[in-house]
Formats: sequence, C-alpha cells, structure tokens
Amino acid sequence: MTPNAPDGTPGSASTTEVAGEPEPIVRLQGLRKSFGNVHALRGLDMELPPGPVGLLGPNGAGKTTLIGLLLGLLEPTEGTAIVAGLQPTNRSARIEISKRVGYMPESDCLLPGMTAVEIVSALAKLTGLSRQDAITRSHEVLDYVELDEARYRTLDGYSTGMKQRLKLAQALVHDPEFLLLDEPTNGLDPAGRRHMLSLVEDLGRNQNKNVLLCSHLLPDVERTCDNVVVLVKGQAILQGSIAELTAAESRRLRVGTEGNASRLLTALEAASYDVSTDESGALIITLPQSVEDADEICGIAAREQVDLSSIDPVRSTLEEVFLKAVDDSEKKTETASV
Amino acid sequence: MKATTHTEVYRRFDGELRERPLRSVTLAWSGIRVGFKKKLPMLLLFLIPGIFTIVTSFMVQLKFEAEAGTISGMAGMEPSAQTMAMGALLSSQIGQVESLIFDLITNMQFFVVLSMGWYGSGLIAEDRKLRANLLYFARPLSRYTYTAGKLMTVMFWGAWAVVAPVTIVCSVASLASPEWSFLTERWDTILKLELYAVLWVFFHGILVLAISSLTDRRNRALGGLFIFYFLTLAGSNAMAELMSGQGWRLLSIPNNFKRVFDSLLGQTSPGIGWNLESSLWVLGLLTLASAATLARQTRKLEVGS
Repeated sequence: MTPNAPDGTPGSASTTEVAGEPEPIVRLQGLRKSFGNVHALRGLDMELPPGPVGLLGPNGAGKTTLIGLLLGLLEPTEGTAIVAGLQPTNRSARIEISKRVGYMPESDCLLPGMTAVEIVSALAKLTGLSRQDAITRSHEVLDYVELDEARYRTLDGYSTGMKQRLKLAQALVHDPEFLLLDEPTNGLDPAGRRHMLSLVEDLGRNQNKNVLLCSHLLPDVERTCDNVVVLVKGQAILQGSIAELTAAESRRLRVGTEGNASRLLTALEAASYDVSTDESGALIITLPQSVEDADEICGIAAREQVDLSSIDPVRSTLEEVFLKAVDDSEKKTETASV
Repeated sequence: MKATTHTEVYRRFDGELRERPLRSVTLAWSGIRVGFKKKLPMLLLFLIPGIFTIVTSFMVQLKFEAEAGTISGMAGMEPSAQTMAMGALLSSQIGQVESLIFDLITNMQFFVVLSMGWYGSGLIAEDRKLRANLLYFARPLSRYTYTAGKLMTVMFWGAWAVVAPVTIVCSVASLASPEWSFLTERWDTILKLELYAVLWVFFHGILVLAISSLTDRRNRALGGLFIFYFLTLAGSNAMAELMSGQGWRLLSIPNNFKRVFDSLLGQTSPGIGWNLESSLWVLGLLTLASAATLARQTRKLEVGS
C-alpha cells in the first residue's frame, strides 16, 4: 500500500521516523468545521504523537466532529487534517485511510437481527479480507474482547457492555495501525468499564496501536493514555504528555505537621503564603515568588514551635490540570469579549 | 505486561486487504440473511404468491396434457375421440398458457410491492436511525457500493414474489410442452416476461430505497411508500373517471407499467389508451427522481455536510 501525500494524491508521505522524532499520526492545520452558525471546531493546529492519546473535552466540545473529519466522514470548512500521512480530501484517499484506521463509533450503530460473528465477518469482508480470513479473524477478535458463546446469538439480548466490546471487535478486525475510539465506556457499569479500559490499555501500551481515545471521563484517559489533548468549544486548550502535565510542581508542597497545624497555617498566611488544607489535615502550600525553597517554611515552623512530619512536592491530578485549563480558557474568552 | 481483567491475547492479522469488487454482494447478503431470520413475515408475504405459482403451474401442466389428450388418469391409454374432445374443451377453458402467465404476473404485482416495501423500507432508514453508516463508510466502501448492496437486497425479495414465479411457471410450461415447444417457440415471450418482471422489481427497488433514505424510521418509510403508491393509483383512477380523461391515469405507477406490459407483449387492456412514450417518460422521470434522492441522501451518509 502506497501512502498518499498530504494532498491526497499518491506520494511519499509516510509514518516513518524522521531524525529520531516519531512522525505524528495525526496532523491538523487550521482545521475548522461549522454547521451553519454553529462552529464545532475553531481552527485546530496540532500534532498527535504515536501511541495512546486521549481526546478530552466536555460534551459538545467537538470531539466527535474531529473524529468524523479524521475519517473523512465530514468535510472541513477550512484547514487540513492528515491521518497517517494521508489527507481525506477525496474518496480514494478516504478509502485508503479506512484500511489503516479502525473506528469504534459512540452511537449504538449495530444492526439488530444479526449475530456478532455475522456482523464482524461481514464488516471484515467489506474492509477487504477474504471470506476465510474474515471468519478466522472475526473469531480471533471476538475471543480477544471475550464475547464467548454470545457471539452466536443475535444482538437483541446483548448488554451495553457486550455491544461496546463488539464495536471494539469490529474496529480491530482488519488489525489497523490507528484506532479511533469514541466514548468506549459510555453507559457501562463499573465492571464493564474496567474491562473495556483494560482492553484499550492493552491495545495502546502492549500491542503498540496508535489510539485516539475520545472521552469526557478523565480517569479513563489518565489510565489508558500517555498523551492528552483537551478540547473546549472547538479549540485545543491543552496538549501534552500526561506525565509532564501532572508532574510534581516544585512550588507546591504538601506539609504534614505533628499538631498545631492551624498555628502554622495562620503564620504562613501572615507571611503571604497561599495555604489550604487537604482532607487529611496536611497543609498544601504554594510558595510565593519571593521564596526560593522550603527552608523558609521550616524556619517559620521552628519559630511557631510546630514539628513538621513531612514535606513533599504536590503532584496534580489530570482533573486538576483539566479544570485549570478550562478555567483559564473561560477567563480568556471573558476578557476577549469585554 | 498484560492487562489485568482480560485473559485473551491479541493476535496480529498477517493477511492482506484486497480490492473486493463484490463488496455490494457482501452487503446485500447481510441484509438478506436478516430477512430470512424473520419467518412469520416471510410466510405471510410469500404464501399467497407461492399458492398462485403452484396453481398456475398446475393449470399450465393440465393445459398441455389436455392438448395432448393425456390428462392424468388417461395416461397409457390410446386417446379416443371422446378423450380428445374432452381435452379440447378443457384446453379452451383453461385458455392460452401465455394468458395464464400474464394473469399470474398481474396478480403478483401487488405482492411485489408489499414484500419489497416490508423488507426494503428499513434498509436505509434503520441505518440512519442507528447511524450504522458510520460503520460502513469508515471502511473502504463508497456510497455507490452501499446503494448497490441495498438495491440488491430489496430486489432479492421482489424477485421472489414475481421473477421466481414467472421462471417456475415458464419452466413447467417448457417441460410440459411437447418437445420443449414452449421454450423453443415462445422464448421471446419468456424473455419479455422476465424482462418485465425485472423492470418492475428494479423500479420499485429504487423507489422503496429512495423513500427509505428520506426518514430514519422504518414504519414511516413503509407508510410513505403505501400512501404514495395507493394515493396515486386511487387518485389517478378517480380523476380519470371524474374528468373523463385517460391522461390522469398516467399518474399511477401500475397503470404505466400496464401500458409497458401491453406494448411489450402485444396485449390490449381496457382503459389504457395513451401512447407508450408517455408511460416511459413518467416511469423514467420517477426513476430519475428516486435515483437523485438516493444519491443526495447517501452522500449525506457517506460524507456529512
């Protein structure tokens, strides 16, 4: 299969590494999509690295629209989207992309009246597998998602979890290099969700699939992905490695005390420190710009005769990072509108 | 490291993805299989066409036996003048074989619309409702292949109601006729009958799919089809009576097909006095409108605007 150039014509674009840097699996340039007066995407410029990437955002942020554009199921109003070196501008490029991409839609798109084996093997044949390969491969992926005897039953009696796993199986049937998973844990109970996440995690981390996990559930992304993009109102407000985004901040400290925490808190506030307490009673202290390190806190504690039990840098959760990014974005919007 | 809550190993696929020219057949076969699983509608829709076919086949067989003077019960006996006379009488009462087949095809037409409507109304409407198009068009599948697959599905059910009965009865007639004379002497009639049956099924297939593509509820598509079909039929006949003008009958699909049938098979039906071209124009325009609707709607399914 010859990859196409970014303009969708056969060319030399590839997904190989260039100068040690892994080629991004998705590259967006000024991507805009409007539905009448509704602006679903407002000029996205970004590159998604290979590996598992989370696409986070509240409902209506433009996640599903972005997936539609990547698959060529939607036409951009402006800008370009390049997927695995291919740009879905025409039918032949879209068809070429679809051979390399597996898509698990959010909607309940499975036709009733068919068994899981029938659905997956029919979709495998539509993707280009031979009849024999389609049947063998269908059983392999249905084994993988653990749809055991249920695969011979029609969908009418399937639980939501089984349907979600079946949708994942059909996305995997041609062993694509890039998986687009749209809200795979939607409507699942805790056990079903854990199962689905373990599958996604396995695919992204152990099977070296490039995964774009679209979700509004932060813990799902935090568990399964290495990188994250946060979309809000059609704009990417945050992008990067989850490890870096949630890295311990040297200026935020969690200080444990042996009694008299309130006295230390009062003293620190008097000294212009930003201080709060967590659920365990420990102090969460943000060092002011004028203070270089934690030595001054030790000095204040000594003056107040408070014994310290621990001083640790605070690691942000993805939720905190997400909420901060959303807040910052809203503040920017308000400032711009004023 | 393996994930903790599942035990199966992911296997790589080392085969190749090929260009498959018959993807539409795969799609059609999926739809047909789903149809076969619903036994009761199949029984209800095809029981009467089945009975018609069997009865007509029997009468065709009887007709040839009567002509040859070898009606069951007399086989093995030398045909006497009395049996020959009985045979001639029976033969004249049964009528020409062609007439029997013409009656069959006319009677089957309603069942074709019924079965194609029943099986075809949901084909695109259900895909729209469930957004199954996302599964199809995220694969190397064009809307033309998709439409062809859906058309084959709906035509399959229509074919069972009219093409198959015509084929069966013509086969019986060929086998029962002395030295296959029905096949050798009337092959052009057989071809014309089959052509007419296929045209009927094709036209209604496109119409059913076009209506199905306009809604995302199967019941609405089914209702829409019958309302369109029977309102134009009843309306055109009523207007023709009221206004004393046969031109109104052109508004009805069955009337136009009747005109085509008459021209194709050299028949004359009462109340059909307009020329063939008018009917071809009406049917052609309806086919074009249906195809344009399908093209527009399936484009929306393939690439949302």
